[in-house]
Amino acid sequence: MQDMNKVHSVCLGCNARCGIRFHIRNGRIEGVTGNPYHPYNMLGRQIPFETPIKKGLKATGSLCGKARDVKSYVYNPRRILTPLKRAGRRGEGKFEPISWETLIREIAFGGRHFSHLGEGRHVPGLKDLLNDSPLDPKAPELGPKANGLCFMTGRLQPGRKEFIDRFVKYAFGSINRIGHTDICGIGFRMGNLAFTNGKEVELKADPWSARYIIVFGANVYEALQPGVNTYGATLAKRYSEDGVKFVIVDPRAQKASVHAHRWISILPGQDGAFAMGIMRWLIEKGTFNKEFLKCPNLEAAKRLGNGGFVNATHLVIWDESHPRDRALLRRNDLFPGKDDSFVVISDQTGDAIQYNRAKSAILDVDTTLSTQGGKRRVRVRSSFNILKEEVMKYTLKDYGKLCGVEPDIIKEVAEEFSRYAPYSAVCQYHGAGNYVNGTYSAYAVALLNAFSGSLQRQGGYCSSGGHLASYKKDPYDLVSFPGKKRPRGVKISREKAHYEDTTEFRNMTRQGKSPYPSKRPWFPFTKGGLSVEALSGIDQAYPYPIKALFLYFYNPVYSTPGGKRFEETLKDTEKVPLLVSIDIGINESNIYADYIIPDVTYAEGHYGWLPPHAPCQRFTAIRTPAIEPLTHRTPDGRPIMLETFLIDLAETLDLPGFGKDAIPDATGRLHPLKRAEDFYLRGFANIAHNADVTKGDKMAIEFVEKNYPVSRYKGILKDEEWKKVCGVLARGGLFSPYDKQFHGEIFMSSTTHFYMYNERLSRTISSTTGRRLFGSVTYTPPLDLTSHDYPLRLISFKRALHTQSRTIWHKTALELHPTNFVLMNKKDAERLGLRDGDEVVVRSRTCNTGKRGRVKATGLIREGVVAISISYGHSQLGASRVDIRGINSYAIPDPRLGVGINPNDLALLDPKYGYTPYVDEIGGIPDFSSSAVRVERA
Amino acid sequence: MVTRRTFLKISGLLGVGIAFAPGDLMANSAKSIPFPKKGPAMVIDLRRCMGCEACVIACKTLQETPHGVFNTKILEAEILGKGGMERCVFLPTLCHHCTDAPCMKACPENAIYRDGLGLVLTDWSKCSGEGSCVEACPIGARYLDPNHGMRSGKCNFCIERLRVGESPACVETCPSRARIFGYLDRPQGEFRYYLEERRLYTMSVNGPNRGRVFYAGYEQGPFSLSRL
Repeated sequence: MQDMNKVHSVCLGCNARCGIRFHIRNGRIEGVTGNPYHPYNMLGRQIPFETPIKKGLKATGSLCGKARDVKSYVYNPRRILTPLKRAGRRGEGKFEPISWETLIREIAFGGRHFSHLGEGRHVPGLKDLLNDSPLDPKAPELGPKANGLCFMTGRLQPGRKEFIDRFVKYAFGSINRIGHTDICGIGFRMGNLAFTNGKEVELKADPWSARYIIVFGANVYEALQPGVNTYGATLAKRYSEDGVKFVIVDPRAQKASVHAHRWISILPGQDGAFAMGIMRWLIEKGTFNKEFLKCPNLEAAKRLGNGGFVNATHLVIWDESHPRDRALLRRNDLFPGKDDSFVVISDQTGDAIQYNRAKSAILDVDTTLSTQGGKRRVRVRSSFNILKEEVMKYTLKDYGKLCGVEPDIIKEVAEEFSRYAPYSAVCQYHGAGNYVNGTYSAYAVALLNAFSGSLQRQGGYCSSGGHLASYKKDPYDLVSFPGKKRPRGVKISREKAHYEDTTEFRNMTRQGKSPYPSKRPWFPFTKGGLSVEALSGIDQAYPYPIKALFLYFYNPVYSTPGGKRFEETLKDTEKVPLLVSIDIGINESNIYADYIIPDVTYAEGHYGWLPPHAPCQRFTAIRTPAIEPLTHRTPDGRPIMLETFLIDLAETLDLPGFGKDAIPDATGRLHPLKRAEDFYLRGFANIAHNADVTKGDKMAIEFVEKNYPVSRYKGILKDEEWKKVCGVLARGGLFSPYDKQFHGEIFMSSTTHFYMYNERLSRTISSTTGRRLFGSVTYTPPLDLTSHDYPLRLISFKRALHTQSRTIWHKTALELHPTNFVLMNKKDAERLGLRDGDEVVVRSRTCNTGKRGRVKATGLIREGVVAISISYGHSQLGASRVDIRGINSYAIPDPRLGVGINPNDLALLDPKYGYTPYVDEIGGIPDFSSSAVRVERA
Repeated sequence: MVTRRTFLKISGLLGVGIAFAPGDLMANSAKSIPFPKKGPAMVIDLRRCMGCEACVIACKTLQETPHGVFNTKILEAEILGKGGMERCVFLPTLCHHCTDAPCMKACPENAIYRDGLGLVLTDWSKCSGEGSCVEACPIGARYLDPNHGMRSGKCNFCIERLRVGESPACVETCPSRARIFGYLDRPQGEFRYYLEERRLYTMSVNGPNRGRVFYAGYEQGPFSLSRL
């Protein structure tokens, strides 16, 4: 028996990216534990980076149950290991193995590849799309024909993200590499996007030092990023030690209710009303952090211990006749020829002065100023004044009614929030804003942190500390390469594109027709990553048809609310002429694929350089393989996986940036990119170099060379580069301690400017109404799709042992919890004559036949709301029979894999836009909270 | 032979879906309830337990207990807490390695013994799978293991790990450090703090249980558990 090998890497059981220590015997995973060098495994307090490996190996960190179930995932018999080609109609469930050379040739060059199945059509190859001429000569703004390739990414992380972008955007020249931020949780991110003007979306209460946290729709003990293992665990441990108070605002009392100071069972979609109710109380009573809001600039805020300030005192032009109406007032509005700095009213002199000149400014301003050197008087209002007017439009009682919470409770939470300021902050995630009209909801929630003055300070609302070192440059250039293309045009999802810039808009205007509403919404003000609108765009061929769709580790039919609607899109060879999937199994989406390329799991690959989501943490964690890939090999012996596939496609198509002369170094010499390691090891070398890692110690080098599969490829790097890289790999990355991220209490971040009024938002024109959006917080009601026949609102959630679509193979989790339930309030159950455990059918207008499940009657959910956890209710991944010629792995379906309900199957579709899934018209947020259902005894 | 009652117990506490009421958690200071004086013990801080079940998975993937059976589980219930707020409560359970172990007394084959560390273990060379121990355990920690000729199985505090100086897998993996492990004769760090400074509770089924598993941070109860 061989010794145990140990590898420090990064988990991908979910997206939280905890460290992981693989224990490997004879090339197989025997177990996993936490990496003590990584803060996520150590409740934020890791062992010092300098700790010698031998000593570090004696320490161990924690891991959640998803990671602990890794073996049943990696060694699952339903992994596909060899490339497959469709052998029946799309979705019929028939595949056959295809040789590597034929696969690459067919996808690269196209042809009548399915004529033997009676499909006479020419299936486009990438070569057919590799063309810089406009895809629509009448609308050149849409970009080149290359945009006909749409590459959609599911669970993507830094590392592979850069690799895929290199292929899709910069070698092939398509703008359509589309992420899935929308279904991941774009709602709360839209709030932060408005709050930081796009600088940073990943902000949360610092779990290590905050004293009062309002948790909006963040499932802290079961999910979140950082995950159960870090954020929730830190809160739990602190609860036992210092009694940290956290308030759960969620229609469902999540597991965290066990320790929560309060559970506010809010109505779905009404987080904004609750937040605005708090603001109203604080403004009325004057118990908010005025001193902080009056800080007009960073210097002033720093004096209070904040690493960020909010533009509450900055003035806004409020005059419809002014050409810059609703824009932030600039000094050159007042005095032509001066600079364009923002303007505030000094609270010492009462004069309008540059924001960076004042130590403190008047908060509540509504006045007129003479502009253009005295030529005209203009009404100006401070951001605070604008927000206040909006907040005051409803009474506390109104807000209580809107969000379904007693006004007294709102008052009490507001008082507590202000009592703990500036150590009171918000932790919002998926639930806070992931619904139609979620943008303003999440913006209101984010703004609460301005009222407590907790921005960017220890114990406050903080951004992630980001990377410790960049992979990008020095000594190797992983960004530029000879022949690099610049993607152009409009994404199929219309994200970050202006409708008003289109030929379509101009033509309609010219013909005297109203251009509004657009056929589908455009999203100039969004975080982006709009997978749902991309698929809807593909379905409706708007703004243009696509030719080839690649799905990477992405199962939209399962993971999208209303995603079943896209089955017909994927099935349609007119809408999606070529469908390629890169994945580890056959799921509800790639069952329609023309080709499936097997990929590795995170134990075998998924190289990456990973920064934290956690507030106040700074690191660059490194993922490398722990075992050799289980997938089959190409004829020249490389493992079949994402990178090998893209490299060979690129070489076959003669694309730049891949192959023999691909990666420049600092001297201009070109190095090859022929296998994954050629790219990632050079990225690691850059990271080690930029972090100024001196040569790894002897112990680290020995440890890596003895234990890490990647050390086989050390010859790619120069010897001294490799030795530095070993110092990083040995510890699973580079990590900096939490305490080092502060100057006193100031959290040091580059995100320093926060917006109570966002002029970019106010200048955004809605493509569906033609009207400008409001620049600050305003109450926007969620959809109400309930009716007499469908009286209950459906929400979904994750359980601690699962992520979305890809954990059903976790054998132990499934043994422990063989199914999910239909959670409903005891009183609702009683009204329907249902008892705990009864079998029921849940129906919606979309899913009339209904889904069968079991009721859990509980007090842990609000009346009128039904909750179903995600991760169950699969129809594929082994739950149904798929015939693969010569391969038995899907021949015998396992009904256990199909148990339960997928709540997304019940989600409603929007009749306004061709019955595609509902999205928020500002951010493109999919709707996870508004679908209406009926529950009946089965 | 597995009687119907045994079966219920197997699928009860350590299996799936059967209601279980372990009785009250009783407050006992370290003095009033005689601790074992030596050997390994575990304190579970309920103010830390998130109910995330990482411990359950870590245990199961290491010990490979029979399908549907777990050496440790987290019982989950809902209560009407302070201020009328509904909330979850969690109770991690496992074999307590009782001082006065009913399973040991019940075994007609003397297969159950206390080892040098004080752990209650089963000698499978003597165990015939007769099953009295399963019935005797007041918290249902035992089961007959079909993977091992129906021998009686249960948590052994990961004794193989203890032998090489490691802690049980459930302790090692617990994200919030709710399971605190140590040796009673040489308590260190947090374990010592809990023994000396914190009020500890023990599970009470037919009288207080003088085992090696203690609870801290118990706030509300009793644990009248409903299915979840």
